[in-house]
Amino acid sequence: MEQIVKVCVIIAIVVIVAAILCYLANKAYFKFLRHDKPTSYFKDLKWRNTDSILIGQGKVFKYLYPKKFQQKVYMCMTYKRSLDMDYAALKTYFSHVKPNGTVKIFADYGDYKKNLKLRTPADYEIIHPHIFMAIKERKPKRKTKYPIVFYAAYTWGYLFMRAFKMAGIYKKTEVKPSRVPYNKEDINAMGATLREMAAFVLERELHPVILLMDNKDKTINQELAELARAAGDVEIKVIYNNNDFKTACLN
Amino acid sequence: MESISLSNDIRIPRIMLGSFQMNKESDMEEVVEEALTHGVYGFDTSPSYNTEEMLARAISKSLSCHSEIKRSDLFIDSKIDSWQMMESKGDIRKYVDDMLERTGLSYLDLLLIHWPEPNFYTETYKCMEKLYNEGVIKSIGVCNFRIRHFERLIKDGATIVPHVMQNEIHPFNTEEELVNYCKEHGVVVQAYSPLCRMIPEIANDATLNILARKYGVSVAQLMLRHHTQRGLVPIVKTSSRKRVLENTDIFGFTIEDDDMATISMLDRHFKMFLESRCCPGY
Repeated sequence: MEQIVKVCVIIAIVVIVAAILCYLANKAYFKFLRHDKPTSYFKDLKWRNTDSILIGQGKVFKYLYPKKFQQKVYMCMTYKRSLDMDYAALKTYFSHVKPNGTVKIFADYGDYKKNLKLRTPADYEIIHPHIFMAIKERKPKRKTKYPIVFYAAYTWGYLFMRAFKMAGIYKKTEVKPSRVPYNKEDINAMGATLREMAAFVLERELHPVILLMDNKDKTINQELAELARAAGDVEIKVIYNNNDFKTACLN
Repeated sequence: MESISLSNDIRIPRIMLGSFQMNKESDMEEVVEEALTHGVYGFDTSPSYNTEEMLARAISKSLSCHSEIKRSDLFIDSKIDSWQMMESKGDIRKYVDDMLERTGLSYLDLLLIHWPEPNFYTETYKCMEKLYNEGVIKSIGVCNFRIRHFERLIKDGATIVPHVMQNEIHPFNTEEELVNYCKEHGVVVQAYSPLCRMIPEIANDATLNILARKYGVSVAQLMLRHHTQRGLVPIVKTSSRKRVLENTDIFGFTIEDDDMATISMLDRHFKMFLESRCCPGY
């Protein structure tokens, strides 16, 4: 009997500790998210007429230190997002850039298919609700309130990445090229979205720069670049290492 | 108060009262009463402000005390919001009928497209043209447009040039090119956020303060006079009776041409309401 009580107490303690941890982690997630990008436009007053905006997602995000942007780059890059949601972020935030400014779109073929159908709680926080209305999707209110539970893999991953970043662990590492094999269908689909994004930017008289993460198969980026260039005057840069990325973001 | 003629000969007051973020009915009643007392007969609202009914009630209440003012002396505008365009795919008639029923107004002097929702604003505009031709609304217009939006309206078959365009305009965002385009096409321009919400950068701006002292007026009065001298119709919003008087008492002085140019030179393309944040895909 005594043994059963002991086990029950231990289980209860574990559950309580886990619940407290989850609660704190959930809070930390929203704090990090708001730190990455304020969501109210009246709070964003200083971020007007920036030289450029940075859109995209991927493993290079962990090497970014937005404080170095010195109010020149409006930060819209994140840890994980689908390319369609990157486009939605572009549609929501491009007005922060000054007239004739630059829109930098970071894209990684290595993540394209993996994130194709991805919806993250950050998407619902950051992207304008009319975008979801147009694609007949609704914000799952309860789920997005407790992302630590309902989007566990994404949220914990994001928290660990942020914690490691704060600890400076990534400073000693280098980004590696993607290794996802060539697939004509995926390249065409990704290239079509990049072309559409570039055309959108050009129509608004801004300057599109597409930053493509290096891939082991070099033909992939060559074909993506060709497809994106069909939109018009589009600058393409391939990112081979951390330094390339930092330089491309700041210049 | 003086008024300007629209291209269809409807007259619009030279200064109007806005209702964005007016949440209290008592404030609305006081401000409307003060406005009518001082000859301000133009009122701006929108479904997204949640003030249509409140404003209509306040106007109706004030009119009952001012028998000399008729509904036809007033100019009331409202808007069609993006979600309405999206839900109805541009066939927004039901929202106009509903608005008129809720407010008890028999007509609107002006109906505006609030934001050029990328997929539906031309269809919406064509529906507004029908309502205009039927006399349900006296004039039609657009808000937050760029020249490319006007051009697309024409390309997609709109037949009536918008009578009014409403945009965010103040000394930090003068929109010279757009205003000139509108003048060339006979479109009267309303300026919302005409005081740039009096953010510290505006309120403490050295040029504006020096010029305000020169003319013996407040910085707000100077900016509003700058708008009216450019031929624009500023839409001022206040919850205070005192401010209604201050903001509308702007016709007793004239800004010299050089000073007009000096104020316009403060332009830095600064906007409070960023287009893409309000209307994705703008």
